[in-house]
Amino acid sequence: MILIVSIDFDQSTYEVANWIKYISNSDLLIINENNHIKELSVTIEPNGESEVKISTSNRAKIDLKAIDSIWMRKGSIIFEDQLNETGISQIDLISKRDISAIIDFIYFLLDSKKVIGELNNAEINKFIVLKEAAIVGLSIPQTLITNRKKYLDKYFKGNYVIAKSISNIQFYTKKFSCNGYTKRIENSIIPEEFIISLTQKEVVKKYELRIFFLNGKFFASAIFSQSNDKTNLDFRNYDQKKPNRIVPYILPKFIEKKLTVLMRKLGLKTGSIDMIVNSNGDYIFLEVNPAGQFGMISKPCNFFLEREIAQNLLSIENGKM
Amino acid sequence: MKYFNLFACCKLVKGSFRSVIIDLQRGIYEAIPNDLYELINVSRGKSKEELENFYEKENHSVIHEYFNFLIDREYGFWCNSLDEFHRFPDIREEWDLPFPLSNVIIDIGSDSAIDYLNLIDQIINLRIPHLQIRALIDIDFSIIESMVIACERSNVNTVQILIPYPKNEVPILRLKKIVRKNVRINSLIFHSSPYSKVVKVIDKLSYIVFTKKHFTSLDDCGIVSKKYFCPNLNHFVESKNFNTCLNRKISIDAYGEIRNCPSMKTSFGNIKYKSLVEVLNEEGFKSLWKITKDKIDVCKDCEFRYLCTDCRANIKDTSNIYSQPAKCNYNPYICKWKGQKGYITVEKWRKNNTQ
Ligand code: SF4
Ligand code: SF4
Repeated sequence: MILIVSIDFDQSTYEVANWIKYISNSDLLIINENNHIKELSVTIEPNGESEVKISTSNRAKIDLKAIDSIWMRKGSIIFEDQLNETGISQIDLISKRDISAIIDFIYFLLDSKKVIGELNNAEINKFIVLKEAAIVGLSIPQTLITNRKKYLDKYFKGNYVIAKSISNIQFYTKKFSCNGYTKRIENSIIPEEFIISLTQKEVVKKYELRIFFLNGKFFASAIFSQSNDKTNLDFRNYDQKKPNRIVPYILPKFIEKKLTVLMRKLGLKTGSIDMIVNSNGDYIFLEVNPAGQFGMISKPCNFFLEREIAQNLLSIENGKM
Repeated sequence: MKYFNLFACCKLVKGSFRSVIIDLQRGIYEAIPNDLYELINVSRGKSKEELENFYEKENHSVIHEYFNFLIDREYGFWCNSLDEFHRFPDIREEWDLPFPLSNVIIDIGSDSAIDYLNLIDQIINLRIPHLQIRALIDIDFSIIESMVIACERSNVNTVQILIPYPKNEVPILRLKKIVRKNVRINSLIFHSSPYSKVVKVIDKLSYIVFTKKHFTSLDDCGIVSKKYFCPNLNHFVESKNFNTCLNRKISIDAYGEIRNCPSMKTSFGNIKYKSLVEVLNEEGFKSLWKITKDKIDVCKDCEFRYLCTDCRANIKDTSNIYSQPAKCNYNPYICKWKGQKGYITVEKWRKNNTQ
C-alpha cells in the first residue's frame, strides 16, 4: 500500500494518485484534513514490536504494516482531535504536545519504509543550506543577516541588495499581506533599524534554473524572466499575458555532482533547487525547498514528474512498465 | 560568438507552401515563410558569423531582419557559446494520460433494454474523467439525473448533457437545482430550442444553455476551422503521437452499439452483451487512435497539422481511412481557405499540377 500525506485540494496529489491507479492495482491511502485519522491503536509489545492501526474519516481501516512506501507531499498526518479544540488553552496545549509525540512515534515507525519527502516535515534552515552549498563548492550570493542599516551599507557597499523570506511563510490579512517573495531593497527608504532580515547581493541573471531532484535524478528547467520587469526578481510574480519562458535545461555534470553531494549532506532524497545563471555563464546556488513544487515545471517541460513520482513510489523504473 | 536558440516551447511546423511558428506557452501561432523555417534550421549550432559566411552578402539584411523578428516576438534568444546552446534540449514529444479512456459519449434513445446505471459503473471503474450524455429525442430527464448522481465520489470530473428542448414546459428551477447540486455537470444544453439563452448556474463552472441548433443528425461533428485550432503543448504532442479526435474516446449509441465515436460505422459489440473493458482489450478498437496527422493525405503537407483536430468519420474518400477530413475547407498547397480570393479545392489544384 502507498500512503500520501498531503493537504486538501492539492492538484499534484490528485495527479500522482491517478498515475498510481493507472499503472498498478496497489492500494492507496491519502491522509489530509478531509480524510484525517479518527481511530487509533498503537501497541508497544514487550518484545519490542509495535502495531499501529488507524481508521480514517473515509472509513478506511489500515494496518501500518501494509504500507510499503510513503510520499510526504505537504502538511502532516492529522488527527480528528486536532481539528476539535476545546477552547481551554492549557488543555489544547497538552493535547497538541501529546499528539505531536504520537505523530513523531508513527513517523519513527514509518522510517524503515520507502519515503519520498521528509517524514518530520521539519523546515530546512536556509542559512545552513547556504553554508553547506558554499562548502561543497557551489557559488552563492554574498549573504548578510542583519537588523541595522549600518551593517548593510558596510557589507554591500552600495550594490543592489535583495531581501528574502527566512522561513517560507505566507499570510494574507485584510490590511496586510506577506507573500514571502524576493524584493529589491530601496536604500533611500530603509530605516536605520528594521526587523531581522536575510539580505543578499543582487545577482544579475540571464535566467533562473528550477531543478527538481528525485532520488539522484535531475529534472532541470530554465526560466527566462529578465525581459519582464514584473518577474525580474521573483518569477512567482507571474505575468498572465506574457508568461515567462519555462524550457527544459541540461545541467553541466560538475553542477549535478555538487548538488548531489549537497542533497546527501542535507539528507534530502527529493527537493526543488533554485539557481541562477548570470550573464557570464556562472551558476549561483540560491536555495533548496524540500517539499518542492514541481507542477510549474512538469507541464511546460513535459517532464511527467507526477508519473515519475508514482513510479518511484511503486519502485518501477522508467521504461520497465 | 552568438548562437540563436529558439525557445523549446516555440515549435516550427513546415507546410508545403509556408510554415507556422506555434508558441505553445502563450497559446498563439503565426504563419512564417518557409525561408525563415530553413534559416532557423540551418542556424542551429552555427554562430552568427558562421551564418553570415554561409549566406551570400545580399541576403544578410534579410537574415538580420528575421532574427530581429524572432527576438522581438520573444520566440528565441541569443546564447553566448555553443556549450550554452546545447544546454537547451527540445521538449520531449511524449503524450500520456493516467486513464485508459478520457472521453465517453452516451446517446440515449428509446431502447429500454440498456442498463445505464451498469454502464455508469463500468465508466467509474475505468476512471474515465469526461462524460457526455446526449439525447436525440425527448426523454425522461430522471434517467440522466440518476446517472449523474451515480457518478458521485467517482473519478468522473465533468459531465456535459445535451438534450432536445422538451415538448412540455422546461422546469428551469428544478434543473438549476440539479446542476448546482451536481458539481460535475458543467453544461446542460437544450438543442432545437425556440430561443437562445445562457443561464449561469455557478459562475465559470456550470451553465444551462438553450440553442436553436438541431442535433437530430450528427453531421455537426468534425468541422475544421481556425476557431478550433489548439496552440498548446498537450494538443501538439498528442497530434504527434495519436489521433486528436479519437484517441482514448469511446461511444455507446442509442441502441447500445459501442464505437470509436457516434458517427463511426464499425461497431465493436453491444453494451447489452459486452463490457467496455472487453472492447478496450481488442486491438482493433485502438487502431484509429494511431492515425496521426503525419499519416493523413493532404494534412501531412499542411502547416496547421498539429493545431488542427482530426475527424476520421467524415472523410473525403471513404475507401481510404487516411484521406483528408471531408469538412476541411483549407487548401495547404495554396494556403487559402474556401471563400478567400483565389481558392481552389485540393482536388482541382492536384489536377492542375499533375498536367
Ligand atoms: S471522428 Fe469526426 S465525427 Fe467522430 S467524434 Fe471525431 S470529429 Fe466527430
Ligand atoms: S488540411 Fe488537414 S491539418 Fe490542414 S486544416 Fe485541413 S484538416 Fe486541418
